Parts: sequence; C-alpha cells; structure tokens
Amino acid sequence: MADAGSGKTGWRATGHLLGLVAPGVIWIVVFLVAPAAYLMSIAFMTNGSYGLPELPFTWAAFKQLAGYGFLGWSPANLYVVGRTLVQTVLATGLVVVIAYPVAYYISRAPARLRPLMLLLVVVPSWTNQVIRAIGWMNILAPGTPLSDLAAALGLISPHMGLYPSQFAVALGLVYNFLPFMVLPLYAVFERLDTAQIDAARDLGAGVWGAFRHGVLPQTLPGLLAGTVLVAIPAFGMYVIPELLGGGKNLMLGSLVARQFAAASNWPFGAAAALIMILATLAGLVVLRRLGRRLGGDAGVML
Amino acid sequence: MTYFKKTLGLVAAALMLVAGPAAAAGKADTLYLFSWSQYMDPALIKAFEKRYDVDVVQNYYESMPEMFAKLQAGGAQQYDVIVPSNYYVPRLIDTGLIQALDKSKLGHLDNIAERFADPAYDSHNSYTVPYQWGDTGIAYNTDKLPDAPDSWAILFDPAINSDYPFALATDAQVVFGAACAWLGKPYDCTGRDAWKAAAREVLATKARDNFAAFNDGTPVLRQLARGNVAAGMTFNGDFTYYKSENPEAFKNIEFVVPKEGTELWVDVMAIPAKAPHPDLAHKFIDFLLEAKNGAQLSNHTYYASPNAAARPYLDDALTHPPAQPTPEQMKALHYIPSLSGDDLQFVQQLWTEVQSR
Repeated sequence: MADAGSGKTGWRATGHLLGLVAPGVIWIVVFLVAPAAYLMSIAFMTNGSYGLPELPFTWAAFKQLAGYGFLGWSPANLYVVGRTLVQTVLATGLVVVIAYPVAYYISRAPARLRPLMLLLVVVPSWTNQVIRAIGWMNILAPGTPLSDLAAALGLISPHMGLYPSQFAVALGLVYNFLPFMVLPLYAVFERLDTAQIDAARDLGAGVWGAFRHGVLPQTLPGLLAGTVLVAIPAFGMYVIPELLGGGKNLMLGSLVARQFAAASNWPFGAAAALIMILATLAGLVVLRRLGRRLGGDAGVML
Repeated sequence: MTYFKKTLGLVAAALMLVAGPAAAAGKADTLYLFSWSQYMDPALIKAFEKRYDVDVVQNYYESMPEMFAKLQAGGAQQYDVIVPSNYYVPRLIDTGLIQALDKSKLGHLDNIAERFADPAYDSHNSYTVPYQWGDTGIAYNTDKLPDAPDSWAILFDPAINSDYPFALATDAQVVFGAACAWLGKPYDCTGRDAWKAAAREVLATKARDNFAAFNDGTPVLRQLARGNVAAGMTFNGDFTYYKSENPEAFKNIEFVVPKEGTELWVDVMAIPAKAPHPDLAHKFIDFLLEAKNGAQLSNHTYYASPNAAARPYLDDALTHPPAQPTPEQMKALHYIPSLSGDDLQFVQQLWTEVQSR
C-alpha cells in the first residue's frame, strides 16, 4: 500500500481502472445519458409550426402540461394522469392478490411439478402482446357469451360489449403482467422459513398476525421487485389501452405517443415523458421507504 | 415490447436499405419507393423494372406522421418517390422535404383529370402528381339500422341509432369536419368557434351509452363484419375491396356518402428534396401516369383513379358508387384544410380534450 501513491504504479493502476470502467461508462453514456439529454433538451424547446422542436428555449411545454392551452386552463391532462394512476394501482393490486396464492401454491407443490407449473405461468407471454390483446378483443366483443352474460346481469347495455372499455384495459393489464409478479414471489416463497410462522402461531398470533409478522417480511423483497416490474410498465403502457380501451379514454402512454404523431408537438411529448420518468423515480423512492417500514432488511433492494 | 417491435422494424428497414444496393448489383440503377403498405400492384413494379432495366426497392409506412418523421430523420436523402396524402403536402413543401417537379420529364401529365389538375393543396401540381383518390364516408349494418339516411345522422343523431355500438374515426380533422357538416357548416370548416362547436358535438356523442370507440377506417371494416360495431367511418376504396373479397360477411354492410358533405382525399406522388435518383423518380411517376398503368393500379387497389385517360381500362366496380361517387356526391366532397402553427395546435388540443374526458 505504501507505494500505491508513488507516481508510476499509481498512474498504471488508474489506467487499468479506467480501462475497466470505460466500456460500461461508454455504454451508459451512449444508450442512456445521451438520449435522455436529447429528450430533456426537446422538452424545453419551442414548438414549430409543424410540431418539430425549435429554438429558443422555453417553459411552454410544461405550462401546457399543467393544463394551460388555447382554451385557458383545462383539467384534461389531470384526467389522463388520474386515470393512468387508478389503472396502474388497480392492476398492480389485483396482480398481487392473484399472484400471492399462485406463487405460494407452486412453491408448496412437489418439486418435480414446479418447473412445469412455472412454465405454464410464463408461456402466454411468449406470444406477442398485440396478438394476446386481439384475443381478448374477440372474447369480450359484443355478442360473445361473456358480453351477453354481462348484459343479462345488467352490467352493460344490451347490444354492447365488455370491450372496448376501461374494464377490458384493467383485465388486459392484469393478464399481461401476472407472470412478472408470480416469478419474484415464487423465488421468495421457495426460501420461506416456515419455522417463523409456527413460532408466530405458538405465540398466539392469528392468521392475519402470522401473515403480517411471519410471512410478509420474508416475502417483501419479491413483492417489491414484482411491484416495480408491474407498476412501472403499466404506468407507461401504450398497446393495451389503445387496443382494449377503444381509444376513448386517453392514458399517459398514448398522450405522449400522440404528440410525436398526429398531435404534432414534440416539446410537449418530451416534457410529458420527462415528468413520467420523474414520477417513476418518485414511485421507486416511496416503495423503498415502504419496504423499510414494513420490516424488510438489506434484502429489500430496488 | 412496443419499443422492441419498433426497433426490430427499424433494424429490418436498415437491413433492407443495406441489402437493396447489393441486390441491385446487376442492374443499372435502383429506385427507392416509400409508400403506404398494400398500395401498389407488384406487376406494375415488375413492368417498370423491365422497361428501364432497374430495381425497385419498396419501404412502407402506416401513417403520415410516421412518414414525416422518417423523412425528417434523413429519409429525404434515401427515397426517390413518396406517396403522401393531400393534407400533408403543404407541410412537406414548407419544410423543404420535397422538390418541385420537372414537368418537361412528365410527358403524360395531361392525362390527369380536370378536378385534380390544380388542387388547393399544391397549385398546378408543381410538387405532386395525384396517385389515387377516394372519399371518407359511413359504413353501416342495414339489418341493425334499416332506416338510416345518407347523412351524418347515422353517427350523430341518437334517434337514428339509440342502441347499437358505433365508432368515429381517430383523426381530429376528419371527425371535426364531420361534426361541422352535421351542424350545418361546411365540411372543411375552419376557425376556432366552428372547431369548438364541433368538439362539443363530438364530446356529447362520445358520452352516449352506445359509443364504442375511435377506430381507423380499415380496422373498423373488420369490426363491422364481426358485428362489433353497427356503424363507423371508413374509405370507399377499402370498403369496395373488403366487400369484393368477402361478400358473405359484408352482405348487410352498406357505404354512404353523407349528403351534408365529407372528405375527398388524394394520395399523391412526390420526390424528396435530396432523392438519390431524381431522374428515375420522374420516369416512375410518368410511368404511372400512362393510361393503362393508371388503370391497372386502380384495378388493384380498388380506389378511384385521378387519371382521366385511364377510365376506359377500369374494372366495372370502379366506374360506379361507392368507388366512383356520383356527380351529385362529388359536389359534397371537400379537401381537409392543411393546418399549421396555432391552428394545428388548437385543433389538436381540442382533440386531446375530447379524448381525455
């Protein structure tokens, strides 16, 4: 250690270190930092007469994002954000409720059956998302048994279908993201220390108490990893709301995509994308704090 | 997943660009055509390749914004001929993405029908030559809506259709134009008050129990055939094509041109500003202006031909409605106004407003 600071060796060590780090740094700069910087710069530019970004720099896109447009202030963007948040929370919640018992059941199944059961969970996602969404369109369309049943129960008007609707979007999101929750939960359930549950029951905990103190902390890393894998893509999801929602209840992903296409407003699209990234980061911070508070330890890493 | 799909598409497109010249090794030159998918008769491409001893490489887009973005991102140097729609032409001219045509190289220019010789979107066809045209009307199920008039009432009047699901188009101007016409104004209405009134009408329509979706003109035909919707906005050529391909499924589906007025659109041929082979591009455009070739194109796409000389060679289906509107209907057809700047943003903000509620 004594000669580490002495000229020649020190420089060589630094050189080695740089050489070692360089590929990773270059990779991140080229594929993450540069595109993000480009996107950020567009968000602060003026919208040209055909929607392309121009100088000078301005806050106009963010003002528009806050709802100020040609019509004065309008809550339109708030509706979009609100609808997206509701769908994201709803989808993630339902996925958790379904995935918990499924993952537990698989982890308790005979060892030779487990790979097969996991495969069955994953197999649907081998098919293209668009094709699966179109499958749901055919299952939920007007005149199908499910839609007729819903109409007979008075849930929808006669002649109408369960698709296109917000219900179809929620169903599509849950269906699409289920494997992303089952797999991380299965991983933690497989290592579940059942002695802790027995101890909790012996000490007088009820079913809920045993779950809250015996199971939940142990499965928390999987639950949070799954939540991140489900909630973030669901928040920005574009294909499923477009196809199953019938394009009538705009979600955030579609709002952003539209700005680079028909709506002709790249700066606004970039600003909205930027806000989405910040919202995602905020969500991650909240999840991390939540993980700590619920008694997770170093295992709760995001 | 979408990003992945798009990336794959880009990679495929890049490979095609790289592979193009390699495949063309034996030929004198290569023409790069950038167009809507399924909008060209392969036999015509073969005939052109044979006549001039060249190769033709085709690339495709699915929407005008997609084409515009690709031209902006360097496509103006890569493609020789593009096929934009009329309302995008002023945008392409203003942004310098297409070049003025050299009319001395277009010997068959006189074949263009009078209606398309001096269009509003490009006076005297200085930059563009019409390729195919059509109108946007309403396709509906005659079993479910037996008393439907040839009017926008099919979509906007709850008394005509109170129960069955129906769809509107996804394009802001196409739908606002329809609402304007239904409200007694011209289809090509402009001005903030007219657009606001149209937006209110669309919002009220969207709030109806049996409003199903905003759907593009081609997908809505499949929805109609399956019975998912009872009425929707579509194009006369696509309707004629689908009906001829599957007469059984479209037995009870009819197409009407609303009497209050609707869209006449023209897809045109243009040469990007920095096209690699402008000379060959002119040859290609003139080739499609020839009477028989123009007819062959329409006979393949089922869209009307802007080529007056092609008329004697057109299939029977293309000479009467819905493919060829009656002279009466022709009077009710208008181009969508080409918007830019504040007007464009105003309409798009209104549309976001409509879609977000």
